Parts: sequence; C-alpha cells; structure tokens
Amino acid sequence: MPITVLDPVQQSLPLDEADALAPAPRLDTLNGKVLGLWNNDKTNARMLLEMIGEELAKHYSFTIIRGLYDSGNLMPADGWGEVDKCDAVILANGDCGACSTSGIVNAIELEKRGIPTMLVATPPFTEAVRTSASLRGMPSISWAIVDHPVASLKEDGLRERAIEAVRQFPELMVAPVARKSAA
Amino acid sequence: MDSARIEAADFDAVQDLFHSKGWTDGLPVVPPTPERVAQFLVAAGLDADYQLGFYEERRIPVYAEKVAINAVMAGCLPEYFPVVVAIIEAMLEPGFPIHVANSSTGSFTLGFLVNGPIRNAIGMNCHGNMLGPGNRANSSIGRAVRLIQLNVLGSIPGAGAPDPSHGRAVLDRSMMGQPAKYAGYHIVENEEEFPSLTPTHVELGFAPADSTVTLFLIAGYHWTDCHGEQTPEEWIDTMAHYVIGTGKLTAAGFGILLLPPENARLFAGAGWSKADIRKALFEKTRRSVAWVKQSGFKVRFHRPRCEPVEPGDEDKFVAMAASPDPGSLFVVVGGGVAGSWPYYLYGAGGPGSAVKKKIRWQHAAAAPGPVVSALEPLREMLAADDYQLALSDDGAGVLVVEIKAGPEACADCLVPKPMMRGYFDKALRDAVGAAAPEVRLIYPEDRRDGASAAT
Repeated sequence: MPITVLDPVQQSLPLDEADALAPAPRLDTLNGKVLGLWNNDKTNARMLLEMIGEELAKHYSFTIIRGLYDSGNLMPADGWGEVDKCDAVILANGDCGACSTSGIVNAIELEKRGIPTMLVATPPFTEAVRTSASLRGMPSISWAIVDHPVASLKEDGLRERAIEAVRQFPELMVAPVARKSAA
Repeated sequence: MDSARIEAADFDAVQDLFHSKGWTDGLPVVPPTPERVAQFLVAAGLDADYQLGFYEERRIPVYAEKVAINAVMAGCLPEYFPVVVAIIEAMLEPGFPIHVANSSTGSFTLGFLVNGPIRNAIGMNCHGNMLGPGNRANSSIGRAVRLIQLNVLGSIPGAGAPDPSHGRAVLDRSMMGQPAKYAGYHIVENEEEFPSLTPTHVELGFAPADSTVTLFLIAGYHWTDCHGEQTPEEWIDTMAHYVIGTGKLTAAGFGILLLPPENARLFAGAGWSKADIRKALFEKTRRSVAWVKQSGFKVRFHRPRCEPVEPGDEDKFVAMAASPDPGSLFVVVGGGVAGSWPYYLYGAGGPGSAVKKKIRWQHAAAAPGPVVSALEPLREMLAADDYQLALSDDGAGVLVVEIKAGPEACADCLVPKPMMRGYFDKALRDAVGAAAPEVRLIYPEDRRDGASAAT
C-alpha cells in the first residue's frame, strides 16, 4: 500500500547571493596595528599563537592583545572583551570538529564587527569549515590551513605550524593593493 | 511550516528512501505520515510552525513539525512528545554546548534526566536496564533526540569513513562514536522508593508535581562495583577512588552519580541525605592541582599530562565537580532492584551547561494517548459552539478539564456542569475503565468570578 511520508530534514535559513555577507576590508599593513591573538584553550593553542606573533614580528611592527574564547559557543552579542580594540585577529586551534567549525563561525562574527580575522585550522576539517561558513552566511571567508595535528606537537613541530600560518598571512589578511606596493 | 510530502510504494520503499537519503541512524524508522505527525503536535499542544529555538552555529530554525516528524520516526508515542519538546528546547538554550555534541571529534552524546509525574504517566523505566534497551519511552525518546540532531540540526555522522553515498556534508566528526549516540543516556529518577533522598528536580527548585528534564552533555560513564561496602563511609571511599580514576577532576564541570536502590538503601537507612552524599564524595575527590599534575592526571581538559608544578598549585583545588551543590553534582536514584553497581557519568562543559526545563504537557495532560482520544468527540462537540477544551494535570493525578469560551461562544449551548461531568466520566470509563482519572471541571463562569471553583 502506498505510504505518504514527510521530509524530516530542516534546512538552514536560505541565503540568497545578495544576502551573503562579505568579509571585513583587509589591512593595508600590520605595521603600527593592534593584533589580537585569541586562543580557545585547546592544548598548544596559546603557544601556537605566541609563535605566530613572534614570526609575524620578523616582518611587521605591531602590538598584541591576548584573549581566550569558548570553542563550545558562539560569541555573545557584547563580544569578547577587548577584542574590539584589535585591527586584526588570529584564532587557534582549529584542529578538531567543534573547534574548527566554531572557530570559523566566530571568525565570521569578528568579520561582521569589521575586524579581519584568520582562523588557523587543519586539513581534515576543511569541508566542515567551508560548510559551516556557508551556513553562517559568509561563504567567501578564507582561513589558514596548516598540517594536522597541532594539539599533540612539541615545540619544534609547533614552530613549523606557526611558520606555515604566517606564510599565508599576507594573502589572507592584507589587501591586494597594499601587498603589491609592499612587494 | 509545510514539510514536503513524499510518496513511497510501501513500507520497504520508505526504509530504502530514508537510508539512501541519510535520514536515519542506520536502523529502520516508523514512517512519518502526516496523520501520525499531526497526532504528536496535538499531544504537545503545538502548532506545526511553532519555533522551539534556533541553532545559531548553523542558522537553523527548529520547528515543532520537524521535531515531531523525527519523533515519529524514532518510534515514540504521541504522549512522549512533550518530553522530546522539552529536551529540544533545553538543548537550544544559550549556553548549552549543543555545537560540541553536534560537531566534536570527541564522541560526546546527550544525557537527559526525567523527573516528575510524567515519568509514570507515560511508562518510563527507572528500574532495571534503565539506561539499556527494553522500554519504549526511554528508548524512543532518546532515539528521537539523536534523529533530530541528525536531520534537524544537520549533524550527519561519518567523518573519515568513505564519503557518504547520500552526499550530505559530514558535520558530526566523532572520532569513535559511542553506543549512547543511538538513544542518549535516558535517565529516569526513582522518586518513590526512598522519599528521604529528595528527587533531583525538587533539589533544583521545582515543585514535586512539576515534570522536568535536565539535559547534559556527556562524555562517558564509569561502571563501578560497591558490593562489599558495609557503611556509607566505606562506599564513599571506594567511589572516590573510581571517580578520581576517570581522570576527570575539574574546577568548573559537573558530574552525575547514578545510585542503585541497594546503595540508596544503605544511605537512607543511615540517615544520609543527598546533600550529605554529595558533600562527602566531593570532599573525598578533592585534590590539589599539584597532586593532580604529579599523579599524571590532567587538571583541565586539553592540558598535557604531567605538567610541571607551579608555585601556588598546592593551594588550588579540583574535585569531581565544580561544587557539591545540586546543580553541579547530581545524585540520581535509579536502576534495578538487585546489584550494587553505581555509575558515574562524567560530563563536559562548564557548570552552567546542564539545562533544566519544565515539561509543558497540559494538552497531553496526565493523559495517556487513550484518554486524549476518548475526549476527542467532546472536544469537537464543544468546538462547534466555539468552546475550547484545555487539559492539564494538577500533579496529584487529577485531570483538570477547563472549558474556555471563544468570542463566538453560544452561552446557552453549554449544558449544566453536572451533565457535562457525566459526559466526561462516561467517555473516560468507556476508554480506560478503572484507570480513568478523577476529573476536575472548570467552566468559563468559574474564571469570571475570579475563583477556580470547580466541581
């Protein structure tokens, strides 16, 4: 006997191309700016961000604000404390399912506040991050991808990841025109 | 809300469809027909497009109809649906780490504790095999929650396996998964057997007559052996060793102790309250951060083991939960009549992450499905004259039937109260015989007089 059934799936709110959010304008340079290093308390996250700060300091002169965020939750409406004082922010780690996807949705929250942001995530989560970015309405956001893993590395390996992330910084965070004139 | 209707040739075709689309957990489903789904919405008194909450991370509005469809698929009965609704509302409360449950490489799942009269009204099991198979309400409510995570919240499992044939994006990245991801930890408190051990919802500030769910993010459980312990103190000492052995001492989290009747008897007989149990166990599991580091445990999730001891670590302490308070360390009586196998469930998330919700079941009332069905002709008869029927439960087993007048209500059409009572009593006796609940009838004029006088 034929049976009529109902579709059990709920889609995310539809997103027309016109509604898609654009990332914040990129930096002209990091020189003289305030860089936010926000870690999600995963193993090595704080140390990776410190190393990224050190590697960036070889190319730019800037000041740093440090912060902690909850990778289990979306940023509350009143933000993350001092994060609004930053001209740019780097988030880490994105080397697990919740921390990579919550990392990108929080990066989108920062972009919406006008702060260019770079999440550092690993390749096993590229699809999950891309899908999450689309669901949250900013499909064009980019992020730094470094080799997996991060959490279990010792200092040497972590330094390599920091260098990998910093190599991607100009393309992800500095406006193309500014990059060209600096070259 | 108008979910797409799909025609399938027969029952087997429904199963093939749901498997091929990735709409099931790997097991067969009850076909969610429009008629069955409508019964669920009636049972919870919800419109199809009522929004239970919003899943921010994926921008997903959660509507009653989609939740009902998945509850039907899981094998629930309509009268279970108010419990499912309360669980879903709890998981969408701000602060509950639902995104962790839905996306983590850690194999977290959900646990829900049900308290209050609805447990018995819908036949939930707080006795033997409480967390296991066998009881329709326990199992199907838990499975409904999982199917809702899968189909409504978009948590499609499969990471690292070959790409799923259905092509849906894999967002549940559980590295190993766990058996409790099929139906969660369905915890039901045995509130009756040891009255001195106050039920959890009452400890949390609800009335005994309230029905509630408390929702937890759970990492796993530890099954322990306390058969040889002769005194509460010995029991606490043994249990503390097991709890510490899980490596889950925390400064900010929560823990759940499932206390079987044999052990509950030991404590109740010695005059211990739940607060006494919590305090003793908390103290016995309390260790300095220095001790934790030196013992090779972790002081926090995501910390390397054997971290160097730092100045001040001797004076900082962690224990099995953030505090011995009832909202942080849960002690729940449940399980089979024989055996001293207490469980320790270790959670994840901060102290605020356990969310408590009152279950709204006015429409389902104390009312098992047959009671609601038996009153349907009376509901229709009253509706013809623009009177609505509202059912609720007074918490003591009395079915409160309130008749409310709509704007077009015909004042002369309502029969005298004693006659109406007769109609209700007969309908219920015919449907459920001796199980018919006592009825308290409230008429519109009772409300107008400012009293709740009822006969």
